[in-house]
Amino acid sequence: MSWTAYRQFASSPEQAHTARIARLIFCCNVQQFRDWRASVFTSGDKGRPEWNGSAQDLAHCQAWLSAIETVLMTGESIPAESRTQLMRELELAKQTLEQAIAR
Amino acid sequence: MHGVNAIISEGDWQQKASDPRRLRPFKLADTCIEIELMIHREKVADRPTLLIINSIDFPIPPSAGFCEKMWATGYQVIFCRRPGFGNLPGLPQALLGRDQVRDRSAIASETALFSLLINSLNLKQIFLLGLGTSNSICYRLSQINPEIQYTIYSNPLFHPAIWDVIKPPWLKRMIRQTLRSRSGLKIAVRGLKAVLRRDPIWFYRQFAQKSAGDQQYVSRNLEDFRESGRMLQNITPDTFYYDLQNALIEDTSWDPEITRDSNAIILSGHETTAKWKHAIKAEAKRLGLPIVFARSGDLFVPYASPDVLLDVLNSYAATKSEAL
Repeated sequence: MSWTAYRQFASSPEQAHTARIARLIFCCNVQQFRDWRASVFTSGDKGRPEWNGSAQDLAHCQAWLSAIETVLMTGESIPAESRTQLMRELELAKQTLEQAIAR
Repeated sequence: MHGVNAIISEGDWQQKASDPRRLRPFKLADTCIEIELMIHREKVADRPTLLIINSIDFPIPPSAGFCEKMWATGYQVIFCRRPGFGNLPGLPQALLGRDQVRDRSAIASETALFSLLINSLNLKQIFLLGLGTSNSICYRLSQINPEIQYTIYSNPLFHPAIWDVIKPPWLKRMIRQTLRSRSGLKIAVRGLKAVLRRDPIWFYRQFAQKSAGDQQYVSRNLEDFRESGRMLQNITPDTFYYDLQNALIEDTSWDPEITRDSNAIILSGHETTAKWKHAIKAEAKRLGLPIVFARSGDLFVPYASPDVLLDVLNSYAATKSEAL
């Protein structure tokens, strides 16, 4: 497969997962590939591997959102001169994570 | 507050069980997020904490000698390895995009996490030590968490003169490449990992070539630097981009109105370029922060010159007790 063809293949959402595997096979050694595979697959029904990347991402986003919300709730204790900037940055992070979770 | 020993999960990650610098995953209260932590001598003691947050170049705790020296003078070292720099996942992908790095929501998120960590550990009397790229976090953390008494910004990268300091030249080109394009970033990170995998000690000797103090610290702690090379194999291109971009370009939020009255100091080393020293002095003046130059060390200056760090800590303690 040519590089251009590979890029078109990889940019398709349906093929992105397969393309990632292909890239890893080409770029990594076998152990790295196995480690990666173990980190993103769980054993599904009948022993078939199931992709769990989305579930992991979602849980990760939710955990971080919860952490940020906790800090935002205690924002009143932050000195006034710092509060505006820090709260704005944290609010932006919160919105980003909420959007990612909603998707 | 939760008891520390109840939260730390058992498990021997990297070092031997007898190692007082053992890094272990620490689960934050009320979340499922874990952070890798080294609590020197394993349990939080009733004494001031020297809380260290790693820079991108060395996600490893300071040497046993350093930790013991701090302990002997009354401080307990607690080292936090940032998410994504070792065995645990980094920030969610959604926070590592170009826009999130630019609007500093990524750095704020990491700051929030460390603030929760301080609360979960129930730490008091904290002396916060930022290193290199972690100073942007420390700047925010010192504002957000009232338990932080004093902050030492060691080698903060808030000045464009940074490009003159990065040695050797091939590494400078590689880092510049990471900031230009996504493909450049991926190629550069892959190249950097290959160098670190093949010969981490050679890499660190090159990286620290300006400073005899840093070179000596590397020579005395070879296994730590090998471990650092191994840990940096786990860093993703996105985490690498986020940290460098934030430290070198995007974090323009250092505000004299905030720093002028803060309990903080900048620590740097004499063993660096004259241009860097001039630039960091100018930035310290703009921010109204005092600055100290140690005779030995540059990138690892607090580790190479622990006596200077102790002088800084003790001077602050003396000033504070005078004020009471």
